[in-house]
Amino acid sequence: MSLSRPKRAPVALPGLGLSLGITVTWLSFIALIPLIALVIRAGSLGWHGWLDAISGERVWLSLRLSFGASLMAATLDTLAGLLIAWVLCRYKLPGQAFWDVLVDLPFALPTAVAGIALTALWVPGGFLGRMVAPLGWKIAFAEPGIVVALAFIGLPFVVRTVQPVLQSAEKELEEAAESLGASPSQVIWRVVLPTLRPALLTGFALAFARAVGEYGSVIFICGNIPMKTEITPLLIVSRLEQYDYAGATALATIMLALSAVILALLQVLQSGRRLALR
Amino acid sequence: MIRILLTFLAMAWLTLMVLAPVVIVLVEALSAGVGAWWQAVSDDETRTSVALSLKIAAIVVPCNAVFGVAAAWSLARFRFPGRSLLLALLDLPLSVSPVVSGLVFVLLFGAQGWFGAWLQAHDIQIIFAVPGMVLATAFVTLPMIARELLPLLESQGDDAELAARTLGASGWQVFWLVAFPRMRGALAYGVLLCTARALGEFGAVSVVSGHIRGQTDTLPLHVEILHNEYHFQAAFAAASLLLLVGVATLLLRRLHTTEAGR
Amino acid sequence: MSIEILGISKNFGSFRALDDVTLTIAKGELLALLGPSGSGKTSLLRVLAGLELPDVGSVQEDGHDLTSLGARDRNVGLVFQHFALFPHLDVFENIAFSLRVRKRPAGEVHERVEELLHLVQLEGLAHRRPAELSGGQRQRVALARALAARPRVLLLDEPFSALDAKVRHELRGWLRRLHEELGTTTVFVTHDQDEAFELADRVAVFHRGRIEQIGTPDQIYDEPKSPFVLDFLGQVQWLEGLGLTTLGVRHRDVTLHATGDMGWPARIVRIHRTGPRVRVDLELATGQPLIAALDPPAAQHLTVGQEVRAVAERKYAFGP
Repeated sequence: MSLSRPKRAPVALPGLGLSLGITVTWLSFIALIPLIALVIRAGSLGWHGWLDAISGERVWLSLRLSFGASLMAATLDTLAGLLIAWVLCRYKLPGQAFWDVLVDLPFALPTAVAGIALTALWVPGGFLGRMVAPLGWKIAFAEPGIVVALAFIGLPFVVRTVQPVLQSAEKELEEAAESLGASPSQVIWRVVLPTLRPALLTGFALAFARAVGEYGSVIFICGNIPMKTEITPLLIVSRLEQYDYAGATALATIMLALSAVILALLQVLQSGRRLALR
Repeated sequence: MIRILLTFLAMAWLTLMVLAPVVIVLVEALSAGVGAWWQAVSDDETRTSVALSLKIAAIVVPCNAVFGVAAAWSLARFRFPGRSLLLALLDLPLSVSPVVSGLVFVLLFGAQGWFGAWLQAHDIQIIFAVPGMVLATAFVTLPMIARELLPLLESQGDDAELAARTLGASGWQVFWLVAFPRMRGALAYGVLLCTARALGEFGAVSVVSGHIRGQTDTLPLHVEILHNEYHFQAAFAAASLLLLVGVATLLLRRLHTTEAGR
Repeated sequence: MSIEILGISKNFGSFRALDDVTLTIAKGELLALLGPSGSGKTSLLRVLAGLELPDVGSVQEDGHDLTSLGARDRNVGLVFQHFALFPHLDVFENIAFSLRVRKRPAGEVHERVEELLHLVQLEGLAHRRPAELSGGQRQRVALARALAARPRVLLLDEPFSALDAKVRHELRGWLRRLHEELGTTTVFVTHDQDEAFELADRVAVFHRGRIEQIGTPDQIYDEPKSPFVLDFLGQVQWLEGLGLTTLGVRHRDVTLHATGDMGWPARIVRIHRTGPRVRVDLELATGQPLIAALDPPAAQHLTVGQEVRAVAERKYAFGP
């Protein structure tokens, strides 16, 4: 984001004080102080109190489910997103603009709407649930339903990160590989995928980050069965509803730390990408 | 051959995973006819929830717009210590779980929160009331407008503003005559995105709302209540309103990007 | 082993990129395809590389038809205008690419790449990424990569246009020597006539998808076959009404004489130094402008306003 520029006299443009003042004040008031409060609150539990709050089978199962389902959803998104970005960039589709807009829909659809819509589709009697029922697949009110919902909301992250790279990737690289004797599959594996790798990783990380914290689209389709289909954000809410603030806070710190780690990872990925494109 | 197969797979995924959920919302909303849809949409409780959603957006969006302009101006036009930290913090609200975003305000202003006792003594209600929902929505949508403006300002460079400065413009003149007109398009688009997100936010608002019918019930929360009470048709009718907002945002976005590309 | 291009045409939509082009490339020669942008030279190069399929016509090598053979199977070495180096691979692996996809044993790959690194004078940079190289270094990596699998023909698309002037001149001489050393049949595309004339054994001048003229640099320069060729080579003044047809006169072919009755009466309008020559702007008695490019000694005694006789040592007239 930050393009480094030579430093110049500080008086050149007006408004640093005012604009920075507004920025820092509002950011602190709305985001920083509340987040710091969370951390301090967690700290006041003490090390043992914190460990107590996050131990227990129910917590462990919810974390495993959240991570497992998010990893699966992000993997699905990476595969499907690569495919969709490739088709949108390289082939002319009938109704290209329509499909292109459709990709962004999960961004624009409120999570609650996505949640009830996906539930209606995948319940055993639903339009899609009916089709997979003979295979013995249970989607809604089970783990697969969570993956479906998380894959839905994560898809545009991958497509929209990969697409510009694919578009700007010179067709010349593929032509060069071909004229050097590479077969079509060698062109894909040795040239196309390696140049897309940073974008695919970024897309995966973004989809994963979004999936791990997701709440609205999952709670309808997962059925909320404790120890079975209870994701971590849902467990936080149910602890809050029982006024178990300490338990909720401890879990929230895990989620917050995870967000920070992914954010840092993305920064590293992005600066790596800038270096490669220099 | 491979080309046809890949195209088919991509279209199939988009159709089943993305298009189908949209279609099902409309199908379910209209399953009992247009009359029933209208009845559900114009129902008193739905209307109150729409009004509350709009009210929250009307408070949050202008605040975040001012913040967005200020943040973009300071971060794009100046280099100061702590700038990259500020940039990183700006992204944090977008990557934090919505549940956590709500929770932090409960911890501050809830009955057992830091200011809980003081607020109770002064009879001020924040959590399980509109102020809490405003705060949670503001948190979730905090960087959206800044994020639209920042890359624009970075790519524009500051030549025009410096030129205005050398021509004798005062600080506010530089802003209103030169900088603001050039960011108007991106600002309008950021406001649109922020509004759509504010109207549709569910997780964070759900945590702080307390779900008091007719009082702390936004449109997305109302959808949940209707759905939980098995009023499926009514839930989908309310959801179709949010769907329309989303689709309208997408179409305007399309317009915006094709215009910017020209 | 000569390559024959027989009657090739290629359309992109309504644009005719190549219009019935026929050309024979002799083994070991260095051929330049010269022309303005959009004249079809790059399209022909891409047809030769197997990246474009012609609408009509064929490409043959010693009687074997290559036309429908894809780029992968032609074994041509292609150097792209902007080099198209693989950004995720280092210099060594970029050069090794064609050997790796052919699954050559590692020892052989290593040996060949070392040999090429030596040839293009990049021994110390084997493990740099393309992003860490200068323009001239990238160019040489691209060349080494194209040569790795010992191609039958080397194709270069505007090989020096992405480089700055100094590097461009160095690399030109280097490429010429390299060609003498290796003897690989080489075809390169350029819009720069100096480059074409300095490097090539033969030059094909392109205009609107056709070959306007083909020959040695001397033939092209001394006997341009059409107004286009003469004009494209530059430094030419067109005169009308001095005979039946339009005349082309090169600036350097004009000499000035203070006395005598040869040539045309003219008046000096302006004198100024342009690099190694002196440019004299003249106005003929007919009112038409004429330009003379003189060696400095020949211009020593001229003054603005002076009446002189302008003699065109060579005139080019083209029949209708």
